[in-house]
Amino acid sequence: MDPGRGKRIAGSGWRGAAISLLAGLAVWEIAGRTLGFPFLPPFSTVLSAGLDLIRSPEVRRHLGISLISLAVGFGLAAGLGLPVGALMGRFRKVEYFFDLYLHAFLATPSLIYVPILFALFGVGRGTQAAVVFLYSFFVIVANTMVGVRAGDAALTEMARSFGAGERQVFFRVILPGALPLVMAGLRLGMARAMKGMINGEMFIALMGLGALIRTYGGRFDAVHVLGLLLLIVVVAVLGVGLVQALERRLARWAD
Amino acid sequence: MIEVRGCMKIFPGREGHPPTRALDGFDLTVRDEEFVCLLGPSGCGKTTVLRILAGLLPWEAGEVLIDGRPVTGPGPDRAMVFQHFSLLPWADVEENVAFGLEMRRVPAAERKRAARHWIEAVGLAGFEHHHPRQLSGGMQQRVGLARALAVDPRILLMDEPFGSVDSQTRRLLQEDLARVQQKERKAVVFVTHSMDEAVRMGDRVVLMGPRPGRVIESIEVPFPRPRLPEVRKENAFVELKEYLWGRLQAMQGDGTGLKTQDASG
Repeated sequence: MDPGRGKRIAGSGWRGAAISLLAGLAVWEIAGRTLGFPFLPPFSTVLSAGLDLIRSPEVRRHLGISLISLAVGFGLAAGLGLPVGALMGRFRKVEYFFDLYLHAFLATPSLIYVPILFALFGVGRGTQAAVVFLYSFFVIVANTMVGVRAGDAALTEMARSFGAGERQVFFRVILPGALPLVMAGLRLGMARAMKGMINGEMFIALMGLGALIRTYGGRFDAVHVLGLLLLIVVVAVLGVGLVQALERRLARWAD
Repeated sequence: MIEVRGCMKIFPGREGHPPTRALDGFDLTVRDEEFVCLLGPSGCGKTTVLRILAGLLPWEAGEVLIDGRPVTGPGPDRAMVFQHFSLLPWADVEENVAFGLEMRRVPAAERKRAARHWIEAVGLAGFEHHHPRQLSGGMQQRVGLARALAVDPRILLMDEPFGSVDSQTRRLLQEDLARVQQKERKAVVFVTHSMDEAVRMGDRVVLMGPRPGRVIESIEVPFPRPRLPEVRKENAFVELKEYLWGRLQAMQGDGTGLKTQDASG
């Protein structure tokens, strides 16, 4: 096992991504300057608009609102989803009870929840968090359930052979073994939570980044729309990246 | 101190398959400090015997006694070593070796002390904080062995422990186990497919027939202890190996097994 080999492979990945990004930005800049489409301003213009947006206190307020609904919605989805998924994975009866709802909600396109929730509960920040919650909850439950259910039979038998009781088997063998899938569920849940955040905000167009996009879009202000898009992409990548870093840290053994 | 008399084990059939009679009329006696090798064709029930002795499986008929008391479940007097190591991949060597003690609710300081002692005894000093994926197969099995020894059992139940490593590592592990056994003097029930291994390691080789498993023959291994690796060169060693192979071959060819077998083998 040559530790240097792993580093080299990871290194070339980063270089490749950086080169690809620079090339893409270069194409965007050139196309923006030469083609003259109103909806494709050059990258440099968009970047400077993006930086202006970040510096603006109004945008920061919207960003804060978005991030709070994201945190509350995702926090609830994880806080509730992890135990529900674990119980479903552990006890067949619990699984059979909730399975119908789980599959129904997973199959439904999540965008449908948005107008329904806003119609039912009004245009408040609570509703916004509820949208984020519904977007991410079921994915977290499903992955946690599968992770817990797929408990390694050989390891369970080994633990029993050393006199482990049921609780010890669950907390010391099954749960740690489920961690990679649980983390994958959280990562997917975070990505979906972001989508829920933006979709919900765009729908009601009152506050948050989604609302800002509709405002600028309504004015045909391509520069600021794209600047916001850049901002949202950065937030999304950071959010998912955070979960991924946690995933790598906790589930390193699963490679 | 292990006594099995007339043991029968039937696995229920699943989804349209008939039940499997894994063991029928299985007898075994293992004395204190005796190293018994269970040798037999694939599917003969060797691993089932081990799991019953470990207290992991119930059985349908017969008696399974340890020191005169029936087996009712896993106990601190027994520990198992597994063919595919069964180490916790997320824990390091020290945590893995201490795992059996942790399941028995031994306090942390004592667990750590015992783990360190046995890690050194199996030759893994310095690797306490490595994870299983960083270790070779042979090293992983040493962890498995240290884990079993750490709970200080009187009986070691070993399920083809060296079957998942290459033949060179296998020889090294056999020597290590022989050295440990010389010192610790456990009663050992050692399941193997290998005639060479059975004669090298065992005080006695118990030959099992094909399913349903029962004992065909029990053969004392005529070499004194301490037994050095050079014993493999002795004529008696080679002859015993060949005899066992002859018996096993006869079993593989004849699907009905050796029901009526006379002494000429």
